[in-house]
Amino acid sequence: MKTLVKIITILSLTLYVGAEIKMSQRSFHSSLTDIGSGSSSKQMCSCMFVMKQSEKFCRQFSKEVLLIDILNRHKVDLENKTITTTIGFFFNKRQAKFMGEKLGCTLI
Amino acid sequence: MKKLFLSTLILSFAFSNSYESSKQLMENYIFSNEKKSFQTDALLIIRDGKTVYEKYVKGYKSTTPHYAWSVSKAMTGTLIGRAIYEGDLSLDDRLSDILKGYDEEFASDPRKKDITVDHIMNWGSSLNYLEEYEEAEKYTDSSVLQQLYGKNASKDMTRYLLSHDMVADAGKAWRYTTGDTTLLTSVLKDVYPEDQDNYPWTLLFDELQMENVTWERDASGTFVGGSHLFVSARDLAKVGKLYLNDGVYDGKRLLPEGYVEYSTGLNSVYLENLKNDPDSMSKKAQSPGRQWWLNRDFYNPTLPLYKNAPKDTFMAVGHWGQLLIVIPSENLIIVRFGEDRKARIDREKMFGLIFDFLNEEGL
Repeated sequence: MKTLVKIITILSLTLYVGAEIKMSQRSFHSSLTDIGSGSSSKQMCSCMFVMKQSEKFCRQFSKEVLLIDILNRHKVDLENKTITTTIGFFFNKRQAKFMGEKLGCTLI
Repeated sequence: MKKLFLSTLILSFAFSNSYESSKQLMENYIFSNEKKSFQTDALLIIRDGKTVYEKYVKGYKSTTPHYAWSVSKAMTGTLIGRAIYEGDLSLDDRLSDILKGYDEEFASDPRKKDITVDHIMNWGSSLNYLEEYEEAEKYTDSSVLQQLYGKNASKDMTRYLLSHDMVADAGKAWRYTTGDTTLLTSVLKDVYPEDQDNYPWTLLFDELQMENVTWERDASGTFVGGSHLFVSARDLAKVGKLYLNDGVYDGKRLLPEGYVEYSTGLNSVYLENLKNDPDSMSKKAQSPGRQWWLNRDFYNPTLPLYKNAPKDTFMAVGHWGQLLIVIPSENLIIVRFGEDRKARIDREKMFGLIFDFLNEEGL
């Protein structure tokens, strides 16, 4: 039974990674996890550094934009004013950087 | 006699406790969040040039630049007006003659070369762009989500937008899109190559003395004209003042004569589509102007959409309930910021309560 679960897990992960690679090869068509981590990084960055709300408030604010956001993990770098978001255990890592008072945050 | 006195006392006590002023009723509705259905973050009302009501909650202040979302579109339309007034741009200019480095995208369909600034002001590029956010059947099919957050699309939004297929000749298909408006800021970036980091300030924000405004860009340096503007309520109201005064601000003309009428007149591509092919259009409740929305019923623009607001009301409308409302006949500007995630504020009810408040207070 344990072997079967392992096989199913490995197969699922392989299929997922394959789908992600296929998506990234289509130039402008990002996967759901890419959009989710991009959206979340940008919202969190703008909320903290442009609207100057607290980190706690902004973690809530940047959730719920997309359903997948509940899986987000944010890394807040106050020194460099960047937000890096990873969704679950996946490979999609996106970063938004605060570029200044006039230009706010940009996904890089 | 004693009984009568007692009854009168009880009645007057009951009445005094149940009476709510129009101001309280307005606040109770607009700011109450008992059911967590919609949330107002800020409300600013300016009548005859004077602030008659201003309130902020949830840590927002009069100086906080609040997410404006698609209210940005009216700001972009205003920047286009400024560039025209300065003699740097014309509504008839073709994007293909201005944008540099996109020859391949324009060559993919000859009809793309005919898209003009005027077509885009009318949300009529005819690019096959899907404007859906959380409600998209598949998030990955949403052009706006790909544009704003996709790994590659968000790096150079102009290229992504021009990669869309055409659904008709330029200027023939009306579709309200964040993409079209962002193409206007793509145009301005190439009209002002020496000032591409700062032209919104040079052209407009400094002229209006706007101090709390942020406008985010994509990684290629294009301001996200269809979204991503952050502005304080007070600064946004200054744009309302500019439109109330027909493009003149503190005695100085900033927009061409007739530009306010053009921006707040009925959208010509929409009108043509409504007459000939209404099923092809994206469905909305109210009629579009040019980067603004009008108080007209989408399917019958001779009728007002909001009966509690005058017919000449026009507004900039953003995701989650951001609003800049201008009512020339009442010399009135209303800014409302919010976070309407689960339900939208009822604008008809909001108008009614605001006018009750103004009337009762004699404002």
